[in-house]
Amino acid sequence: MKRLFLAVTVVALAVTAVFALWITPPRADQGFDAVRLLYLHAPTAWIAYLAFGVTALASLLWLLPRTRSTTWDLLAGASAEVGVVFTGLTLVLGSLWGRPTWGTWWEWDARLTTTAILFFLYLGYLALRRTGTTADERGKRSAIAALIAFVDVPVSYLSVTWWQTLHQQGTVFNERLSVKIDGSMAFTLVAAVVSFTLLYGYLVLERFELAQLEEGREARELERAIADRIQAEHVEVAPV
Amino acid sequence: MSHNWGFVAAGYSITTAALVGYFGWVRLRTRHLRRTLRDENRD
Repeated sequence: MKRLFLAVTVVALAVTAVFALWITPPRADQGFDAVRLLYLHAPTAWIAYLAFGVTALASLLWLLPRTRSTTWDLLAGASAEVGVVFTGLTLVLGSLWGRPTWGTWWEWDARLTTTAILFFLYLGYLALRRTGTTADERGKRSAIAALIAFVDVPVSYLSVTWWQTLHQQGTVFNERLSVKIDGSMAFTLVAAVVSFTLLYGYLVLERFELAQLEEGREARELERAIADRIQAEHVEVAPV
Repeated sequence: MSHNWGFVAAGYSITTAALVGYFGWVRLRTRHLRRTLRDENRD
């Protein structure tokens, strides 16, 4: 089943790449062929928001006593890590697209800055997940941090509406809800969003499986350490 | 005019390298941990 999921994802990504690189037209107002970066930049940004949304939801479910389960904590961590990879890519791709269209690699624009903050917030979150002596302590700390960090997601998304920015407004979801894309470009953008969402799902599945194995190993190492200590104490108090 | 294909090539290459690299790292670590846990169970 997982192999089929991977196969469908790879085919979807390949079809998207063919459309993005060869079928869609260049745009003079978007850096000519550099506009082809749109089909990577917009979907990676969407996945970053989705990943951090899943992390926030899973964290909330962990915090609620009725739904508390290690599964939610591991899912939150897995999704955040994938989200960090996609946020990093969003920043790099935006920079590569910005150079030919805006004439600069970086600008302290509201959207760019809030996205960079998002990247560092979740890097911090991942670092925080490595602290704490018990799974419960780690779960509590990271769940609260995830909910606080998530505040930056709507701020980043709405920054182009709230402030005058160099970054353009949303192509589909903008203030007037007027879709500014059509034809093969619209089709390719939708295909890219769908195929990247599939990729996100697959990567989280893989990372979640790894997190479960890591958790199992940690628990076993803790058990072994406790057993070793008990044995050592027993030897110390034993009469000679 | 170059039409900025260099930026496009860089973007698609970096994205592919980052995602394949991450996927490969997760797969390798999963395989390694699975093998380690299997060996520990045997002992």
